[in-house]
Amino acid sequence: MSVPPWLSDLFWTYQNVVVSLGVNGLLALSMYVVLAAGQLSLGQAAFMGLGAYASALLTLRLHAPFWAVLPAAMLVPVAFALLVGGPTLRLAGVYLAIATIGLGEVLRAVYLNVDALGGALGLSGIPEAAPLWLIYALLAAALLVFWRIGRSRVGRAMEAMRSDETAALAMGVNVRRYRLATLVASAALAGLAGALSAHSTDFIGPNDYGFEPAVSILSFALLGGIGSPIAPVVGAVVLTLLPELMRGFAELRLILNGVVIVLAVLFLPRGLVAWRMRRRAA
Amino acid sequence: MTLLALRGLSRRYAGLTAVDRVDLDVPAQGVHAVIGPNGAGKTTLFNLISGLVAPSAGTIALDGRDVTRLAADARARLGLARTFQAVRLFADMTVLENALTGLHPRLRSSLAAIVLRTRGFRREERNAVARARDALAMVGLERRGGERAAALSYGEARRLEIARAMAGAPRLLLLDEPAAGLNPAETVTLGTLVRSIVDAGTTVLLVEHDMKFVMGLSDSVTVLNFGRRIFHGTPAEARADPAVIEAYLGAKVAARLQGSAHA
Amino acid sequence: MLPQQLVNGVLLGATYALFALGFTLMFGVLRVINLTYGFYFTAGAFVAWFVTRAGGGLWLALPAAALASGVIAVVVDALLLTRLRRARADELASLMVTLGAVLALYAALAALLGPDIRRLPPAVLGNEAISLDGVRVTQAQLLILGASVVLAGGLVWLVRFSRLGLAIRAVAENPDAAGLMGIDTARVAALVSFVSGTLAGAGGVLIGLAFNAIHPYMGEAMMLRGFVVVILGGLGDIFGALVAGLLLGVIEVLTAGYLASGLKEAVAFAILVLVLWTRPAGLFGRPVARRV
Repeated sequence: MSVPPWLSDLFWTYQNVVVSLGVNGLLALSMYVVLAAGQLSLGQAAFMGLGAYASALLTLRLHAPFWAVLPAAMLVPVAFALLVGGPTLRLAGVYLAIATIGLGEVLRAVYLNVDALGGALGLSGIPEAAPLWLIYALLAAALLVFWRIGRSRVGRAMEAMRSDETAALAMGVNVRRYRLATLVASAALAGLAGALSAHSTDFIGPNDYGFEPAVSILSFALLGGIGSPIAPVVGAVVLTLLPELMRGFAELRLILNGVVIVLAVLFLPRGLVAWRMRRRAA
Repeated sequence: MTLLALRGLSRRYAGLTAVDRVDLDVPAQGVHAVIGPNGAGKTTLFNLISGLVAPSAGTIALDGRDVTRLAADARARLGLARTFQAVRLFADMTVLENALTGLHPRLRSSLAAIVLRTRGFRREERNAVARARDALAMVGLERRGGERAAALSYGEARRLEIARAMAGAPRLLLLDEPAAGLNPAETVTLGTLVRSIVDAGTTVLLVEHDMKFVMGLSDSVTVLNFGRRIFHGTPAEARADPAVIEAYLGAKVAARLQGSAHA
Repeated sequence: MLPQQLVNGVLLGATYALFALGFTLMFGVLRVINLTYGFYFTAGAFVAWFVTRAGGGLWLALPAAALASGVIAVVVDALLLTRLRRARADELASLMVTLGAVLALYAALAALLGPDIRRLPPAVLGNEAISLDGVRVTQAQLLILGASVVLAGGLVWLVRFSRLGLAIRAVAENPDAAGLMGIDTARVAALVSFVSGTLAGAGGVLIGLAFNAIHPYMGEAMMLRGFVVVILGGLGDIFGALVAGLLLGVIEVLTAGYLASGLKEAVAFAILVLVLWTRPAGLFGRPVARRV
């Protein structure tokens, strides 16, 4: 079987976009799981960065095989999620949002200033070891898992606490445990996405995981909506392809993401994919 | 047997004692009412019992177990359910999903079972849906299961809240002013519903303004005034108690009533 | 060495306090985490840059920057937040809207003016130093301290002792009740936004002076300090923000002096997490309604 040359050309031209679509889909899902439980984390880019740095360092310094690197890329951000989420999840949602913004800013400063982490130059020479099929297989798996969880007592409890936390408590939902669990799941997923993207691009730098990417990831979920796990992925697809179509200056993408968030919150609170999944399996 | 026991329960806010050293024993059976004028501390008492507000002093025991330090969700898992004075449904969820949420503490399937959709998980969900439908049928909403909760009328929403609380077959159900805002016909239906709840084996503790509703329904009545318990007994005794009459009607009217009784 | 660093720390902390004051005021009264606040800071610095480039002195640049930032704050509040207030949306909705807005604003400014760092004309800076017992203080630092004290004092006077302050405190306590008592809550919101914007704008000028580096994203880096200060002082707590601002300034200078300057942010963040773990209501732990 041979691939026609025009298709292969097309693929090589747009390979970056194809990778980005899959990685951004995973990131959108990592945002979704937090938002679906009524919380706001602005640390998704930071968690992604932790996964990327952890996996790149393991590969470059210890020559660890790609398969061994992926679990580590999930565990490191999870540890940070527990550190930040432990105290803040006892409090109102704004505290988590603030603490997670802070996490991103601090990690950027740490990457920049610690030479062992590559400093301002970042880390380069990362082998492009992440196969494309794996990125999409993991995206599909994450979608399926969230889909099934959404249609169970867990999905109901999450929507209940998002809708009315007091009433959810009165129904016996362990709100604190759910908040922490969703943050941990989200950190693991973002870390995974970070490792996959780091191993598809050869280079990572301290500014790849700061404030702007965090806001972009939020814009995926807000544009798509959180009525079902498919919605944020649709948002990610739209916001990944749109800037490709209007190849303007780099700032244009940021302006677009910012405006999308403003408009989505003010005028489109259910997102583009307003359809809401059923929350029962029988 | 005592299901709920309050001892010296107090809640102070800056400059105000909303609940003041209240003792109360609720037996495991029947309908029990807490009444009192506006601001007597009834809703605070309910929030203390359900764990949404922490007491300043005193203890709460459920079924002989001290739950004073347990969070609201943990108490719910022990079989304590409640409704709210201002209805608090999950607005975007369907009527049936709201009722299913009431079963949350009863569902045990692990995350792995959920993700793998094991046979056990599917059976559990089927049973849960059946029980949720029973709860809806109890309040006459069995045909509305697929609608958004936000689409219900006020009276229906109040009934759904009761169904949601009852779906998990709780030991004790707290009803916070269930008759508020209902018309006379709906109030009669509510009385029947409360009776059927008790017949199903759940003890009911309710806070209510509507005296007629309370008197016709309750096995015991506790009267609060300025956060203090001023009376506990049967409805008939409450009607004859001078302290209760004074709390409700004010000292002047009470004195006149007493005067006319003497004359 | 140490006295010099303490002085530097207090002077730096004064600007942090000034910056955080407006942010915490907005939360205390309007119940929003308004992230566009960092942009007012950037805007103030840029206005000052334009004014001084055109030959205006600092006496003109500072009020012009404060005024401009105040106006921007009022416009942003009116465009983005009044609708959410009317709809009684939760705090996270306003946080997300201002987050999107501030990203777009920074990027638009960077697109318009370029991302490079700009410097104020040398004549503005006043780098002559005064020496007291071996502790050096530059004119710029004295100006920063003076302006911070005046502005912070003005804010406390406005909120605590003026008639408008009574309305502000009433809205902070209970917007609905304040509205029923005839207080125009929309005007109070505009006023609070203006005052906050003014403080941020002035802060931008002063920090621009202190580091002599003005660029579109300078407000973003400042927000992290703002967060640490308001969490440390207690969200919505004006007095707490003053103390916490000074404290953070001193801690940062000492960290840079004795550990490594690259660790400043990490230490600030460690403080943030530590406070959230141990004293979530802030160092002084007062109930939110009594802080303004």
